[in-house]
Amino acid sequence: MTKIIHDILEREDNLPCNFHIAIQVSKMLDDFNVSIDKLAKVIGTDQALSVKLLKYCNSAEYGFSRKISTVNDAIARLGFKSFKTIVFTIVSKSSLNREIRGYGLKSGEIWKNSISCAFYSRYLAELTDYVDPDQAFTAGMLRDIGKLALQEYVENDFKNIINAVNNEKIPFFKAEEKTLGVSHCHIGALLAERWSFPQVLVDAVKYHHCPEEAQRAGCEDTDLVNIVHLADYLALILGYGIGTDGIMYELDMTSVEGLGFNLTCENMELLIADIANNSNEIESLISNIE
Amino acid sequence: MREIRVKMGEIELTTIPGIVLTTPGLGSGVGMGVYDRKSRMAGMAHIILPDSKILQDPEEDERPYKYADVAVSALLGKMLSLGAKKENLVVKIAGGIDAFNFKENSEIINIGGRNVKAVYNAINEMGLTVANADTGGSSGRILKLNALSGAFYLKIIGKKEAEF
Repeated sequence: MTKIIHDILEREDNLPCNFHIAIQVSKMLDDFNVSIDKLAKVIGTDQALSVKLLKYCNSAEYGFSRKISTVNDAIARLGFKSFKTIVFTIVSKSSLNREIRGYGLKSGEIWKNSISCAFYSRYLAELTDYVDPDQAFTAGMLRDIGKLALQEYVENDFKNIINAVNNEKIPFFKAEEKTLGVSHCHIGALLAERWSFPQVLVDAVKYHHCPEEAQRAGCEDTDLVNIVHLADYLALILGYGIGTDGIMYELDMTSVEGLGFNLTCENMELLIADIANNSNEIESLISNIE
Repeated sequence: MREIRVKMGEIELTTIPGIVLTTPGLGSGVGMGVYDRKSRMAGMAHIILPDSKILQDPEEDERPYKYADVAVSALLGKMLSLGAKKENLVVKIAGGIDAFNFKENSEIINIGGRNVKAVYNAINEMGLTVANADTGGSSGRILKLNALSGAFYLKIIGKKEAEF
């Protein structure tokens, strides 16, 4: 284990992340027999989450005729499927809506980037008949959590990382690995493991820039990795929360073809045209979550 | 100064002094700023695709200004119809990141390169030229245009904003 990995994991409690409840709720929701009362009890242990959830349910987005005043009511009205993505969205905002100086991201930018990646992941999941589009949403949202932890090291060694990118013609995350001994993907996956993320989400975080390695490692859900890989690329080229690492990442054509896309210039443009029409929905979610 | 964010697939036009038009987060998309030095009319487009003809029915698209061919002629046409004169127009463009691929077939994802080419073509077809351009590479950009002074600014992510 490199010193940086050791230091980050040692100080993991200081990271501004609180995915504990969201993961617990997500796992409970996977069990179809779970009761609304049980779920509400778990949510209720986090006062801030409960308040934000109720505010969101009462926002214009939903337009419910009757005011929703309890968590139980919110779950019943939203349904289990939407509930999962909303809980993750709220929790991720409190973790991601901050400045990530090491990657040149002002406050709110990594959050916008994560939300758009989440939307694009869900869109691609639906387009490719992936079994669980909500899982894709969550994976797209969380794939860059490693940046929160690695940013100060990236900031200190930025010149060396960029030199490695330019001189050796390697993507940014490989240059992180080479210079710091660990990439934001790798440290993100180690943290996700610590926070008891399901293995398929850990894999999506770890391999979102290198889906061919997921294949080689025998990951259970390479479709999910492929979806997040393409969604991440689309979010970047469309400029949502683009940082100092720019677009120094490759798009793996084999991975994209693995999703069933027949890759031509025209198909790529049609995909972008369609996905860009989601931008109102993305802006609305960003403005409605407190 | 009030900023108007020109989101992707949008065009904006203003004659109000004190407005700054800005295209946030240009990746492979291209921002085009246009300024009429006499009437002080300022326009901006945030283009993300080269050509609307990929669609069978381009008119059905809810955001037609995302295509270079539609956005450039719409913005310039609108400015000219409102009294701007070609000889007074200053056109500057930024964005269009290159595909960061060292393997084969990178042309497929070189949307940025195709966008830049299409924007140049559309501008030239209108009988205009580009006064300044900052395109390609792998860094994100933000383009700004001050409607009062006609000053353009470019921020390359990770660097300081500079007059452009």
